[in-house]
Amino acid sequence: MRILLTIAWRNIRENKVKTTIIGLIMVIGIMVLVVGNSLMDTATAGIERYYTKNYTGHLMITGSTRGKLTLFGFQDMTGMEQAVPRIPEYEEVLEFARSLSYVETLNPQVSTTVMVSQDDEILMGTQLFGIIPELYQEMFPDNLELVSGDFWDAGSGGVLLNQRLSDHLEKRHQVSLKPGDKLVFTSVSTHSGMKIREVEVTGIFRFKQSNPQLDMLSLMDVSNVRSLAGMVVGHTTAAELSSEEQLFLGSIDEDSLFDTSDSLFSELEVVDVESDEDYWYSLLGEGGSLDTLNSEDGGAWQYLLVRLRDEKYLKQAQTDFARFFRDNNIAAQTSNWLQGAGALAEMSYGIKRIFNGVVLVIAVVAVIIIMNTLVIAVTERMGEIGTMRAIGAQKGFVRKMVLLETLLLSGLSGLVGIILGAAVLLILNTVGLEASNVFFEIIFGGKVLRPELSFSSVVLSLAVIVIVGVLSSTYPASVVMRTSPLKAMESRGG
Amino acid sequence: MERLRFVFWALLALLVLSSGVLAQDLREIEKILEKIDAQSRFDDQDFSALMTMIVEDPEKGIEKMVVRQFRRDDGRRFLLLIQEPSTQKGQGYLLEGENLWFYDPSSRKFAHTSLKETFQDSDARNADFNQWTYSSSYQVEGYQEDVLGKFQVYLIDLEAVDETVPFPFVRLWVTQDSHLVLKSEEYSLTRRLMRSSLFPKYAQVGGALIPTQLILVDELVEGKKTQIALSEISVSKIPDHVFTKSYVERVSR
Repeated sequence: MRILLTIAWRNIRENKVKTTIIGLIMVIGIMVLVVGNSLMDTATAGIERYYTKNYTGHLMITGSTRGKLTLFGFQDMTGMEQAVPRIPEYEEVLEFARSLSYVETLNPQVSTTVMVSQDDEILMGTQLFGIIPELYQEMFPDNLELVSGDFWDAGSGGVLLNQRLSDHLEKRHQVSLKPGDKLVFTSVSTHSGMKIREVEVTGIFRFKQSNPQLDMLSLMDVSNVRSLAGMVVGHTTAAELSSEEQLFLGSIDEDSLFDTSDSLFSELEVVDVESDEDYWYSLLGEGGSLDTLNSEDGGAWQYLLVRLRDEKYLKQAQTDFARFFRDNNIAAQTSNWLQGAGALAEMSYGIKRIFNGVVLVIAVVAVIIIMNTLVIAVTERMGEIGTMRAIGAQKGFVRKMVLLETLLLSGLSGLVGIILGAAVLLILNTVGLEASNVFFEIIFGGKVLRPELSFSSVVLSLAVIVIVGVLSSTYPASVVMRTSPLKAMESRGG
Repeated sequence: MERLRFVFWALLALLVLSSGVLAQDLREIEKILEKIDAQSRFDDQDFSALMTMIVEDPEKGIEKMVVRQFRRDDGRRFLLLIQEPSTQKGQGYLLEGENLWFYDPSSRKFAHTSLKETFQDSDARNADFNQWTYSSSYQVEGYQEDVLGKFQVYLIDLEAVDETVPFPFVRLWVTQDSHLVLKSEEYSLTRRLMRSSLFPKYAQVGGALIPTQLILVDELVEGKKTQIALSEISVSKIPDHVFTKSYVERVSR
């Protein structure tokens, strides 16, 4: 083995020009692999960290639904058909979540979309998260910065308005908002009718890292959001219909509806309306029960966000919750952070997959070039190898010598490539890659990407080195072995 | 050559004549639209009724709403007060000329809404409770004669000229003799069928002819439709204060 190593090392040293050219190609190829994969890995981890740390936690518990439910509501046609479900048996679910040792913090939320107006002028649409400030800040202690004012006091209501929205109001509508001002919020849900709430702005904030979806988000006390989302105590009881009212239920045959001209006119009694005041003010009867029916359902939550002590517990948590829901017959479900984060997070993952594909193509091209260069280098030495065979070198000896030589060269070049790649990443990490627009912000998971050398990219590069070394020595070695020593020596002479 | 010249002049004359006939026909159709609007309007009277709305939804099941309707077409005003279901009781829609207000009794606040919007979770649009304005809000695109059930009808295609209407394109089935709208199909800007409305019952109320039963079929969600039936119809004078915000607030307390 020592002789083989000595011969291989001597060959590498003696063919300096060839070694340099092949080595350089391999160094660049491996460096591209290391830098490209590390960039992608950092960005992927960045997005996950960015969302789990600031907005979603690791796990999202909701009521069961077949729709694509995110923290921002349904992001498919289901939203047209049904409201975001409440978590059934919320207290039981909460108690179970608290009993799990790997659960770090819990944060319940309610979400709805509203129109914002002031002095009868509709200003804009916005998304609201209904929260309890203490629980929200416990789970996301560092995700936002207060520009003015503060969260509302415990027991009272208020809205913490996103700075992007207050800037928009100032630019577009010349409305300058400050804590203490009041805004009117009108829900646009088709499921619970329209709801209006006038809420005091207690502060203006900005998310430290944001994206266009989060720019549309403001935080409000849960009580008002519940009312706006139609999460009230009262519910519609099954309708009791008269036989006449049931006449047109189901499908309708238009022709039979208009089959006789006599039936078009109905005899209706025109009544006289009383003119006294009492009549006009008692049209709706007693309104006493109205406030009770329309009061918010205090225990109702749409989302329970779960932060785990470590991400490694994610699978276990999903299994434990699924079993708990099944055993207790609770129509609830868990989703991971990516499902909860909404369209933009999914889009950034999609774009990343495309970028990964591009890196893969570059890697394949690099590998092909490296292999081709090595194959040429070995076949060029056919005469030398023929001579060795003629003076008694066995096939196995020659094959091992070629393999060792190639592995030595690719190994050394690969190591240099990894070191250079790490150096490039260190520089990029120090300088920071700034996202020049929203598109890159989404891909980077923030405004600046500071790439780090990823373990998987080093492992991948080492694997590539070994595979390339073995493959690129096997083929030329077998070609050389098939050629007789005499012919091989002739090729050297020719 | 002479023959060719004759054919040319004959064709030109035919073209001029036919376009004149077509224009004449379209004017006739426009007159029919004016009549439809006029006979559904309460010019010198107020109008009130109790509307029972049955909303059939494949997801949510069947819901019933009872709504009190007050109309004063002279001042372009209406008020819709929801009586049932109990969770929506006291909510109101007040039209004052161009402004449509929605009132939420749980917050005692008014907010702007529009005639184009859907009424609650039904298939009705707020504009459906206002007087018809086919002749002023739409222009005639074309028409043809057709049959619907036992009725000889004009099938009239309309294009909106007024941006406040909920649907930019409408097709009407109008009886040829009495000029009653039996059916309408409402289309989006991309000419996608959004809703079909059927008017199987009419009644003579005061000087007006109004549909007392409406079936509104949602063409986007299969199986979703709303039927509206009118009862307790009256043309008695409604006090002026009924069409005010303060009345809506007070009556809902």
